[in-house]
Amino acid sequence: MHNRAPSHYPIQCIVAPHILSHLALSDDPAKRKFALTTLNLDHTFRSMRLGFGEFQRPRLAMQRLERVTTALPWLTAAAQPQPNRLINTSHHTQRLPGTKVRGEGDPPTGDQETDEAYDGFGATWNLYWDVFERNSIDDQGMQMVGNVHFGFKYDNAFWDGRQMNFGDGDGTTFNRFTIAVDIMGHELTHGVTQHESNLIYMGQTGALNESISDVFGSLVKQFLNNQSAAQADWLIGQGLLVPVPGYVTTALRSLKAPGTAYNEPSLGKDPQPAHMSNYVYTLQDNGGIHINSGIPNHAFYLAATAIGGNAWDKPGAIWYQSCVNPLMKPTTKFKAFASLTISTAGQLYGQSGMEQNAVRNAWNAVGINV
Amino acid sequence: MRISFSRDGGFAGMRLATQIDTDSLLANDATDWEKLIRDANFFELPSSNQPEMAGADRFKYVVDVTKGNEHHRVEALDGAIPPSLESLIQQLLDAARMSRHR
Repeated sequence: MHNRAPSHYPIQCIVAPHILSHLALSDDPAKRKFALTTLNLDHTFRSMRLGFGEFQRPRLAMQRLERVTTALPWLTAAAQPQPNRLINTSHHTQRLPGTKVRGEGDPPTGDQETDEAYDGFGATWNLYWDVFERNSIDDQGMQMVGNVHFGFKYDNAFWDGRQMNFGDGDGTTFNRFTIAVDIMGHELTHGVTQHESNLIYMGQTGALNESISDVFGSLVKQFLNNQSAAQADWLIGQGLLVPVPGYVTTALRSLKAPGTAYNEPSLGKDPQPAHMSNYVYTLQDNGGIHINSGIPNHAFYLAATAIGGNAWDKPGAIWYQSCVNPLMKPTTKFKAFASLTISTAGQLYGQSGMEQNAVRNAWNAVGINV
Repeated sequence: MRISFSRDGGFAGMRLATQIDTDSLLANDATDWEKLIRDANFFELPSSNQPEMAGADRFKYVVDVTKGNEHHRVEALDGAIPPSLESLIQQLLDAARMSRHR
């Protein structure tokens, strides 16, 4: 849907720079926004100095440049997108819509779930905008709505096609579902996937859908905490499980070591496989979509740690550009996605480059041979 | 009366399930379950209860009841649970959690 090339504004060649700088100081917000988005100042300053007719008088040209430059910071801020968050409470029922408790720009409420959801949405928006230049779920600044205190002893969080709903947990086995920032990242990413490939939510395509949410959920956490791939814990839902002395309740899932996140008497053991040879064929969970997601999850972890640096940089770009590529369909399975990430890595960083090899090796290591 | 209950899916992808055979329960408990089934208007409920949009990470609940010659199976997803079924589902979840904590 978006093959996002570096910013290119052909209109710059048509509208003279001095007109743009005049527009940038207009009272009309629409004119200011137009000028800003087309005014590539570095380039324009250099062009101006090369001597368009009007700017053969350097002193006047510099005065004009100074006026635009001092105005630029607040003009830039005005034109930059911002997150738009709305947190409601469902009062422990499943009734929607809930009652507003916190809107964008409102101060913390003191209710833990409300404030965690608000901050988690902000962290998710930041990853998508700062790293991938995606403005919210639909890339058009869509409002991010979260309903907290959803249901009674409700041990879940879900995306309902329009908004996110978070339960408080049952208090015995599960804590609140706003406890880990990657959970908010995971749910919002389901919205992104819905607007992009819209992967069908069952079988292998569903497992891929789930994996994409875990991968970007993990990137939200890593970006927020400024952790490199080597420093990251690669866990999903850390702290979600109520501790059971003597047993493992570290997290819900691990991209680094699928199958090791938890092992305790009432839940059993983390059933995730790390390799296609252990793919779980089941009718439960829409065909084990939360189980078999471990395979592509692990592929991303392997690729990210092999490439090195921050996982949201090159590995994130490879995955994100693949996810928004029109070649991704609702029926895309693991192998076709793997193929796409390998060719995307080649396009972004060079054919037969270190990055492309790392991605191919990662998929091979989990049993997807492309 | 036999009640078979399962909940699967959800963010954690875990399954919670339990079976209840009222013949093997104390009289009071058996009566409680029969009342819950009646109050839910269970045998009149639609078999399939799907929300308008698929979304992701919803729970799926399945309640399967056999009472004498009558049998009915109701499936519902989060966001589309028939209101009369909510109470029964809460009780079944508690029963399933009890059997989980052995």
